[in-house]
Amino acid sequence: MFTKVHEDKVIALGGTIPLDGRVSWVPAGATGFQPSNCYLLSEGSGRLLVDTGLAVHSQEILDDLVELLGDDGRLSMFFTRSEMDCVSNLEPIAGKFDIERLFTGGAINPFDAFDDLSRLALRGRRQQIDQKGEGGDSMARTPEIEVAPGRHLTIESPLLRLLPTFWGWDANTGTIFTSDTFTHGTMTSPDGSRIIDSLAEDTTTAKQVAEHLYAKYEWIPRATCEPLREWLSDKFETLAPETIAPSRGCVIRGGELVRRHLDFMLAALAPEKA
Amino acid sequence: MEELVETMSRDLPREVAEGVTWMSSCLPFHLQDRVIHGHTSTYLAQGTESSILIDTGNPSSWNIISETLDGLLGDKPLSYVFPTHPELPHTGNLPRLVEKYPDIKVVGDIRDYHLFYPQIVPNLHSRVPGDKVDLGGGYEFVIVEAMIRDLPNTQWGFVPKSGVLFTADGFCYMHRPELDDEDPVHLPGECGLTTDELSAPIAVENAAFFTGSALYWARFANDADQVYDRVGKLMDDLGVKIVAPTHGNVITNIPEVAPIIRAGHKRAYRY
Repeated sequence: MFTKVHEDKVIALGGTIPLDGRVSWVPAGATGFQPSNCYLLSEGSGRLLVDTGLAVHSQEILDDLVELLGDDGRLSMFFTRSEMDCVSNLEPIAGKFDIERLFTGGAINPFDAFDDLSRLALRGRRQQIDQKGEGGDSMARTPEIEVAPGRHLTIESPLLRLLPTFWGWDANTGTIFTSDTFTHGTMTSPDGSRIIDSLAEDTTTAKQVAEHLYAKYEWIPRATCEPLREWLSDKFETLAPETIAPSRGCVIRGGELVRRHLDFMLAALAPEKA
Repeated sequence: MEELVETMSRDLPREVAEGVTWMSSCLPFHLQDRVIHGHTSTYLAQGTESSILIDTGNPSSWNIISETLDGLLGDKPLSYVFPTHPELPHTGNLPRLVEKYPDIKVVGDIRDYHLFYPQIVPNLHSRVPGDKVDLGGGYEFVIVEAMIRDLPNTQWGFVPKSGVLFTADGFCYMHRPELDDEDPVHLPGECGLTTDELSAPIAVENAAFFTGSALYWARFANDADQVYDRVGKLMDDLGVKIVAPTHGNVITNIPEVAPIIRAGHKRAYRY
């Protein structure tokens, strides 16, 4: 069942993952459930899907898209990463809906995972969003994606990343899409809230944030983190997001909560103090 | 029809050690002013009874990978596949392999795979470093801790009888870009050469470029010496004779190449 993050403008889709020792990106011994998210951005007739969720949640995402898109089954897609938690529903979604444009980075065209005929029909709709700069830096080639006239998603390659990654900034709703960072929000039951939006209900700790970050970014504790802290601070100060929308974990909504979780993350990026 | 496989060396497949065959495709990487190429290799280790494919290759290379397997295996099915980690160049053909070989066992650190490929869950078999897969005729495939990695569920593998260590994204580098200034395609045959057959040593900057891109963390972690000291000890303990990375030529002259890879890794650090 989908969740409205910002009225009808940003809607979270996806299922939940039981944390049972079979997931690599959470700390060892983690329990409970973690949301796996993709997001439908809507503005008039414009629809942009940010990531596609996990293949294991394919049917519920398809069902939700059918309900949300109605008779007009057209949408574009933007992948924050080319990892399977983001891209693995590309094929079933493309098989059911008309994919207008696909915005991805990296060297591999995700359409190539399809059978030949599907691939040939769709390859021309892919728009590369990155290019390699000096020293192999990834830079946005398509810095903005138009959802609809007056509504844009601004694309940036974050300094804090593991693999080629892109964040999106939706100024219209104050939502920042952070892909595989800020993924630490978990639930005690699979039908819990996908959104943390009240200080009173937020039980997150600095330790929890650090452990989730280090589970995938295992190099952080032995890294020079000052540039990462500076980049993250500047980003949040400049944009002042109201909502953090990660590809995994609970959505964090509300200025105070965003600030609180940013502080947790900045502390995790000071591993000598964590 | 549009060409789907951008580049594939005509010199492969090639047996690089007893029982180990190198299969590869080559992907173009677009820099600001030129295109350089990088391997996306798969390796087939064969014993008298069984066989194991190390990594699956890119989905766009499936047709030629499938045909190459037919030629190498004959009427026998592929017994095992060992994806080193779940990035697309390493796992993208898993569903197709299971469809082609329904009884195949996918072995390794298979965390997350049930979420990405729910249709192949019955084929998933978890293995940890130290576990062995008997291929017959004295050939074994041994799971090894990945000491250079990006994703946490990465593993390396080793075939003791042949002395070949499969290092996934470790020991990777690009083709020498000076060869590509005039022509975006590597020199004919270079993709299928081992490092002691190349006409010149690997350039440190090529190793640094790949490390800084594919192992992004190397930009922030200034610990290349500690990492490669551990890797060196592992290789001594195992008796490694050949290093088989996914994204570079097969390394046959380890004493000459390892210091270059190490220097490239150190150069990737930026702060």
